[in-house]
Amino acid sequence: MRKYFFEVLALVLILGSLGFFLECVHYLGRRDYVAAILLLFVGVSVIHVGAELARLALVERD
Amino acid sequence: MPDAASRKPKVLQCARMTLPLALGVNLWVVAVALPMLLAAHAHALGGVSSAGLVLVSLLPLGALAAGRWLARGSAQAWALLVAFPVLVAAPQALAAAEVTARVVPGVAWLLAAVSLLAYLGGVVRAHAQAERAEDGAPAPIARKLHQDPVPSRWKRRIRVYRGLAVVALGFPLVLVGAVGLWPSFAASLEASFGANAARAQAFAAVGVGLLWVVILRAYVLAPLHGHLQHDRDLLRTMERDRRHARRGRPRPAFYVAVAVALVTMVAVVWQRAR
Repeated sequence: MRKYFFEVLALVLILGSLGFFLECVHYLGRRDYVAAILLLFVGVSVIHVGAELARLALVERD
Repeated sequence: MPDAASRKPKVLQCARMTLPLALGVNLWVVAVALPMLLAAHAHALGGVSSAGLVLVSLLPLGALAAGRWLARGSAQAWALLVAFPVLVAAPQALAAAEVTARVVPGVAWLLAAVSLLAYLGGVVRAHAQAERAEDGAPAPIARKLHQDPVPSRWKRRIRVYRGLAVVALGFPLVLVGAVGLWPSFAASLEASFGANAARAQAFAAVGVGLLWVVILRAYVLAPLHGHLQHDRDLLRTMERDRRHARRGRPRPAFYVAVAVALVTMVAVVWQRAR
């Protein structure tokens, strides 16, 4: 059960990071570079958390 | 005179690189040659040096040829996955704003994005095939008399590969589509950059492409490369992770990433609210 929970959560986080990257692009268009850079960091961090959870899901399979 | 056995790998290598080369030339035609020809036909390139234009247009093909002839390794990966896509985008990024806006319609961005995806997919596939060929034939595996048609570990792997394919397709499609086709983004650029909006749009497309190359390298190609190396590093890491998992807690990097995400989210809210 935990494995599926981790897998779904990892997928949600990895795909969810796309939203932050989209917002980053949106703020770049408005020349709000500080917000864009901050959102870039949020996106990379979220994708990293997703990768960590995917790793845990892999370990959980045993 | 070389014998048939020594010729075979070279023939295989040529056949393997044919598809990426064809897809690269296709991307060059869609993103460089056609817009240049249309601009020249519309007499929109006034004042631009013809020699410089030809040089900038041919540079991507040089990177593609270098990637073809370099030995497989990081230099070839940089030439094919970084230098060629960046040089393909360079002419439009450097062209005058009104030229890009007049000559390149919005749908052309979508076609260029699909061509870029097909090219990157072709290069990655060729690399994977080359590594598999170098590893040689797999060792014979003893099979049980009664076993599932597709073992569960293979089902799991196929699930992961499909997920990677979805991510590898989805990210650039959405990001490049947002930059090239999203009306509110184009309106924001128009309001912010005025006459230079088209140039800013091309620059944003290049930035998004580079961001995707970095993410692809770190989060898609690196795990696949590790798998092709029989996952020795991964198995070692998994053994370490299993010891961690028995304690029921993720690694410190998880907490660091969560903290960075939360702090930067708060920073964004604060920056927007002040």
